[in-house]
Amino acid sequence: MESNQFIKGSLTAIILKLLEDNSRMYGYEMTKAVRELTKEKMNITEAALYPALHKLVDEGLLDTINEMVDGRVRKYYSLTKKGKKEATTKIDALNEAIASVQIILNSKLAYE
Amino acid sequence: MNKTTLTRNQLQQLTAFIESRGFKEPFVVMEILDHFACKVEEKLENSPNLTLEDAMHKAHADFGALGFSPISSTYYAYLKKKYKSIYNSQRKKIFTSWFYMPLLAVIGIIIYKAFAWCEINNYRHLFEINDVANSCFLLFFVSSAYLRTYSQDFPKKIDPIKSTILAVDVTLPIGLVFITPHFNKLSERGIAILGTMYALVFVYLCIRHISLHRTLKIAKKEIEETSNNYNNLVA
Repeated sequence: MESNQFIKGSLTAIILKLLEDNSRMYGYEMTKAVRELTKEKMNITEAALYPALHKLVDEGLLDTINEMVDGRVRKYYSLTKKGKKEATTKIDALNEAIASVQIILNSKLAYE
Repeated sequence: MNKTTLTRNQLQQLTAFIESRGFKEPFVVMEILDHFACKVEEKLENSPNLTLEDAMHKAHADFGALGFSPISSTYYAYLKKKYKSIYNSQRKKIFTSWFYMPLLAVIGIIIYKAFAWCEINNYRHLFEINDVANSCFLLFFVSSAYLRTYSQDFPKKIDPIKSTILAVDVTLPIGLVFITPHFNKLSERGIAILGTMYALVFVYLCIRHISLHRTLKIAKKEIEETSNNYNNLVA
């Protein structure tokens, strides 16, 4: 899926955006949310999601809390204070990048 | 559509499946389990006639060609980094502690004075080395051995002391032995230089061992909590 290539580059911003809107989520919930929001056009793979989550926790942007749900331990991720600030920056940067790409795609270029 | 929730017995089968793929550490199994269980539940909801075995294989295939490996490897790396950063913050706490720093400064001065006194009075009972130096090495040898034993049942891949205990705690004192004259008496300047070095190394190793012990204590508590959850599930 071509969109998966795109999602890889913007995964951090997507995770931060999801957590900004939902206060706390667990890993599977994030993959499901992306699938449902994009009507199955985009899919975050576990191989990409968990390394990104571990990295964000390590950088102090996310906090984790374990809870026992349905007989197993569920790890919930939420934004830290630093994460909230970073979320705004990353989402703005991604929006700007998308807008720039759209300008290029929508215009007829006569570049010499 | 009714929400499918896996039973305890089914979760045990999932745990066995994860372990059969080579992921045996309880904290890694627990990291994978919830996501895997959610996927299996989704498969069973979408195809009620599917057996648990088939649902597990389908869910596992969704994880990609590498299966659970990316989750486990990044989790190991994350934990190792986390414990290293806990170690650094504990060390910083001691460096800025109003209790430890004056205490260690006094101990450092005592080591220096005792080293000089032993050197002047020729107290060299083992390997012709200053007795204070010998006592320091013995103390750190015992302390290092204790730390090793304390972390014995700790998962090797995330052991915060395994890779450095030899590098620092053994080579640093041994290095000092090599530069200490074994037979000749030291000059006044030699006593001052070596006494200061012994005092500094002693204080540094004290800070290091206290920080390592605190880090291991925190890490062990976390690992034990996960292991208890795991044991409750599989028991």
